[in-house]
Amino acid sequence: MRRERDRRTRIAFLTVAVAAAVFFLPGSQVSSQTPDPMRHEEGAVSGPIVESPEAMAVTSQIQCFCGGCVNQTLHDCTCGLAARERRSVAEALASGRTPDALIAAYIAEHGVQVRIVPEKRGLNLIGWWIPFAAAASGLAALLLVLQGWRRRGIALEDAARQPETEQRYRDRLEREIREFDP
Amino acid sequence: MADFGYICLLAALLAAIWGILASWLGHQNRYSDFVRSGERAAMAVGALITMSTLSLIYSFLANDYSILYVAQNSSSTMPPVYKVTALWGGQAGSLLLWVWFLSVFSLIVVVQNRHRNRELMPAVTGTLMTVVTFFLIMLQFISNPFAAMTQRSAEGMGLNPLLQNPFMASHPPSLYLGYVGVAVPFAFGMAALLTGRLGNDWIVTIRRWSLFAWFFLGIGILQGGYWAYVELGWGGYWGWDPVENASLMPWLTLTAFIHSVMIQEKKGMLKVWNLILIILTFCLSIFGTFITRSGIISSVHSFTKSSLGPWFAGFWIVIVLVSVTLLVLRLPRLRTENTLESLLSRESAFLFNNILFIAICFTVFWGTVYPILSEAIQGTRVSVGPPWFNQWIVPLGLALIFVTGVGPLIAWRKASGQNLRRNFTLPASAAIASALLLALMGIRHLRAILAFALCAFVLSTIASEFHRGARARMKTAAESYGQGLMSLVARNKRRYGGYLVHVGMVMIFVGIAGSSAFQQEAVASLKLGESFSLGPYEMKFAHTASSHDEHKDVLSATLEVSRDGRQIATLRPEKYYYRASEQPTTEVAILGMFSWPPNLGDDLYTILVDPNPQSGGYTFKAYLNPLISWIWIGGFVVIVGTQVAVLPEFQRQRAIVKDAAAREAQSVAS
Repeated sequence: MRRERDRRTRIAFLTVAVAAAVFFLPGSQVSSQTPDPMRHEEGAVSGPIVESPEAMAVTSQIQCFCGGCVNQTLHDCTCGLAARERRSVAEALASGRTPDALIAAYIAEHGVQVRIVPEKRGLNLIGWWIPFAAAASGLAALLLVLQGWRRRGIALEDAARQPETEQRYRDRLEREIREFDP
Repeated sequence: MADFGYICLLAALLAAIWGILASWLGHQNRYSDFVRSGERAAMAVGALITMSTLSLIYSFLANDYSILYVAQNSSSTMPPVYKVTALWGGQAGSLLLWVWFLSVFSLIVVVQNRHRNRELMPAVTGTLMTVVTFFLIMLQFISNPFAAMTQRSAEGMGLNPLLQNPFMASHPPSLYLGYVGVAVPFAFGMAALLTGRLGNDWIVTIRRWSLFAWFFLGIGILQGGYWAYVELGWGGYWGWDPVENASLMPWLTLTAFIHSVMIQEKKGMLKVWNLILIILTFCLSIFGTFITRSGIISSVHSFTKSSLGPWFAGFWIVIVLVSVTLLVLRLPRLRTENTLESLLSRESAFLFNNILFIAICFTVFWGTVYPILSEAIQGTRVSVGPPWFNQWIVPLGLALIFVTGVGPLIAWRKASGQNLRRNFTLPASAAIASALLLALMGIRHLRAILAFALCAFVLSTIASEFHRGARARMKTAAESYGQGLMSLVARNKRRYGGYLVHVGMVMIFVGIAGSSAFQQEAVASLKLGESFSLGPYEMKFAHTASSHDEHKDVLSATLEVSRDGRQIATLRPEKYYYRASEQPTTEVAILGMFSWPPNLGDDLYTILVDPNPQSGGYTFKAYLNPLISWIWIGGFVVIVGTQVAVLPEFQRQRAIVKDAAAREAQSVAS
């Protein structure tokens, strides 16, 4: 009986671990972020401004620095400065500069905080992965606690099932009933 | 009036200090007169701060620019309603609002408990008055809302134009009601630890207060999201801004508490965990206030850098140290009364739910403070924007939806295979069927399919709960199906109100999933008569108009919206130029649920980006946000569900009060 329970517990642990790994791993099939073709489908009849994928590669990485719109990229922000920056990115790309060079130029001018997210390298990897480590540790700790509680519960159940204990409780119950209702 | 308000604050400070001392002396020496005196002091604090706040509001309405705060946040041309809301337009007024709410809550707590929880009350009053004292000291010595102008000004500077919006008028008070409401459960938690009365009495007492704080925090967050959506003009409602995050974190821990406290009530388990959650929630509410005031993290919401930061940091550290020390000292008396019988049980599901809430909260916290840590460690500040948050929050959120479906249907103690089959066959089938349907409809966005399938799973679990309950009522009480449903809810408001809240949350998830996965956008530079299209909509730039009132100049552009060749609406995105602040704001025009006829499927969201009347060209941006209305409708369902859950259950209430009175009498006798 207990072996069967332990086997089930191991299977439950394994299932949860595999599910968590599949779920969280960036690049896995479930969570991979492929560009959504619908997102930039623009069917302008007249005068559309379509950002090229190269321009998007720059403007969606750089935070707007107008001071009034924290956490918005140059691509999203509707302020005048963002509109001018989008135009200048398009012009720079047309003149032969690469997206990487433009991003580097923004960083050189405004510092690394101009990137909307930190680069995934060096110490910043800790910044990227700490939430995963914390969630995984929390889950593992919870499973350990639950298993500990369950074992304690089983031990108490087993103790209660001991014939001597059972007889002791039965005697006590009968005694108390007699005392209560002579 | 300024002097009157200031004197009231000073008197309130003295009364609050007396409230702490009297409560402490009363508790230590069992002097009931001192305990009552402390409580009367708390009531006096409530009355004095109310008078002080009303005097500041009067000063705003009377355009009294001899007061610096009034001059900085108001002008005579502002509508009266915004003169009132200007109270929380700046730092000192926000702090006053905070402490006003807290003092009124303290007064209510004292009145509510004049015959109940007498053993806990000295510590409750003392804790509440300690928090009040801290805020009053800040208002007296660091950020005085009644400070006088050195030279009287004839006109005020006006309120930040972004704050002149109906939702911004109600959003900060809602959030503050939530932040401050958390102080009451915290005070009872501290009282339980201080007095050693660690049973379920304090848990029962704070249930409504926890729901109250949770409700207003949630409503405040939703209102803030709606304000950002209609006012900031970037097509979204949540930007993971540090101040947004600061309001989300205590809401998450409080949600975890509201779930885990049920385990304590029913099984006597998780006593330590529940105390940790309450302490954490209060610490996060103070942390939120700290990061808003200190200016250590840049945010569109934060006030300018002030000297309040170190004070709040110090207060926060004191709270953490005192609470954790008390908790550690009481650990031996907080042992769980029961054990877990199976990993497959409702208890386990609730614990997984808690871990997910805490994991989300930690992720939000980490993303919020990482720029500061990075600067401290690497010497360079980095930005942590939406892509970082979305990478982690989306999977955790999906797991949370799954647990939301499992929790209410899985059996307490131990779920058998039969229980699982009986309860989950239908929901699992609904989830699989909806995933297949979406795939057949050509949707290939895996996360969105997963989100919608999980939402179908949760909704069908809730529907089957209602259905089974109604069927049972039909059998046992000979009621019709409709009557059965009604009496089901009426007889167990907490449970079925909770289910309604879950329905609302699922609707919010549907809105978030739909609007983030399938958003489309288009930008166009147009001259009059030209048009551009987005999805099924075509927008023709028909004409422009300019106007002005006493506060601002307005430039508006008219877009005639057609669908399938038929004109269906006219939208007028605008730019406002406020004279007092010289700050342009974007006024978006939306074809959505609040349009006529309402459009529930998607929002067509238009922005006048870059008007250039000289060249005759105007730049427009448009977003198509599918299902976004579901977020606001879901919010409404959450409101209804919470109202149902907090409605009194007379029979149960009477039993609880009788039980508590019996216990109280027993403890006094012993």
